[in-house]
Amino acid sequence: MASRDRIAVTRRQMLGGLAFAGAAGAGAAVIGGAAHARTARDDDDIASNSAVPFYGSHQAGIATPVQERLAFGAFDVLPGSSRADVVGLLKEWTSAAARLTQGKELGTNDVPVAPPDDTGEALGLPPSSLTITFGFGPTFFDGGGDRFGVASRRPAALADLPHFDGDALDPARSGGDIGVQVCADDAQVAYHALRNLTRIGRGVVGLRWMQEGFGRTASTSGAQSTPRNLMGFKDGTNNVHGDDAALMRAQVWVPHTDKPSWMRKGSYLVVRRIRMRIEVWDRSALDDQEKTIGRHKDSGAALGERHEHDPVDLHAKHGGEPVVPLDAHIRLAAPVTNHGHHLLRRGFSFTDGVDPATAALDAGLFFLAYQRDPRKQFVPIQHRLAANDALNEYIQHVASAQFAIPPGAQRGGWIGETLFA
Amino acid sequence: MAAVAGQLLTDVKTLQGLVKNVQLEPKQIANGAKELLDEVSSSKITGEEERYSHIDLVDLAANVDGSQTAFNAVAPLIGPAGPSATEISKRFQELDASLAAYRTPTGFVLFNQLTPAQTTAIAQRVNAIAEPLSQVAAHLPA
Repeated sequence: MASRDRIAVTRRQMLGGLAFAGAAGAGAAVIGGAAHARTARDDDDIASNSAVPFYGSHQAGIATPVQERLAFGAFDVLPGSSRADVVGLLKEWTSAAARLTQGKELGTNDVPVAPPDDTGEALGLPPSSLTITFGFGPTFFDGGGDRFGVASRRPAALADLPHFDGDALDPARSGGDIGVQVCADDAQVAYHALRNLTRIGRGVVGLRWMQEGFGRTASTSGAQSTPRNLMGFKDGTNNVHGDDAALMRAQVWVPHTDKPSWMRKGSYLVVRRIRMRIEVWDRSALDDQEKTIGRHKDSGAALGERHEHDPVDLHAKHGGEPVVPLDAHIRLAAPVTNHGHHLLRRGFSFTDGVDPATAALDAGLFFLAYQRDPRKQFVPIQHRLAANDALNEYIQHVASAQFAIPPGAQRGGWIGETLFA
Repeated sequence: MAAVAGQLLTDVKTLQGLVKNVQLEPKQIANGAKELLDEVSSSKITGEEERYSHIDLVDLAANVDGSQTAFNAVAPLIGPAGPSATEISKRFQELDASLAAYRTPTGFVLFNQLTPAQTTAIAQRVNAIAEPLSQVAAHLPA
């Protein structure tokens, strides 16, 4: 017990520091706990001990600079659970998420004859930029009939995704009534949050699938360096940045002119588990790898350019041939190729061991993309990529999900309130 | 084998007599109810206890019955701040109903005839009861 008491004191001290920083930095997107040393990677702007505000007009975890770790859970509502059960759970989840993201313990934990409310493995750890983002999948609205009286409120933008060339989707790892994206700079903080939300949900929802991720594969802030994915390439150089208010308004947030009105200030999330054919990629020549992506591997510069952030010239030719090949990934994914449409990518690398049938590494990119309307953004972009992208030789989409991300909650409110209003 | 069976029957009857005189605190009964469901979660819903006969559902249903009986004994004693006895009873009834689907005239279907989706559904219903049940003891009189 002694060590536990000591840890609790540490956590209280840390919370005291945060309250002070919170008062000083009210209104800032990220509140830094300045008194504490960084414990994670210190190569960029993320202060791992900082707390991200939970309440706000948008949910956190979208515009927030991408953290280092992911724990994503997709839940199905259990048979027999009612609208009132679901609303009750959303309220409980909201207040739990508000506490967890600020680094606070859940509930009561000192009754000897009762199990502690908080499972405890995050005691003594800083908030670690934890964000928890909730969304509703297509089946939440009308899967198995109108279970919760919201079938008529399903957004048109949440249309079922079409089949894309090359899809090999595993239904057991796809879909879900409710999606919960948990991100933090510490894997244990992220897992603790998802584990405790799962526990709170018992009897109303059950986990359908979950995915852990590491090594963010995109930057969503001008201050973050561009990370590399498991192919060894810089990924997300031209991503939408959360602090680019104009682009966020145009491409990510649902504006007040879009329907349904309950989604205003929300967004839409498309999730794809993209397996990389690691062995094949690793034995392809550097020149092939660079032509496949359209960038230099070392610098991250587009082919024909010198620096990562040099503008990409898709018209450049050398010896009559396009410098960036016609089937290069960056050409096909570029907004200029896609009628100006962007995606805010927030993906993570994943590894789930080895494929038992082939001993191949089961690893790749867990793709998370936020957008205003998947029908105009993800779907046409992915059709183009699935049909033509040179990268398809080295990847396969093996699971898929999508969620309508409602607006954020104000203090005293709860996530999903606008849907059930 | 007849001698062994006879001894077993004698022992069971002796045990039955002894059990009637055991004094238990309400908290012990509540925790017993929870532990019966913990056994289901840990080793019955996995099909490992009856690896050869596959009659796991018979065991499992007996644990659930025992848990429900123990819970019913303490339910009226739960304090006002404790978990809802009505909700726990409702969840027991839902679990009973889902197990009833697997009943046969002589017992239950064999465990290896269940699909992963069916065992998952049972496991989730058991957890749905065990979670609030674990909070009951803290709200009973000493």
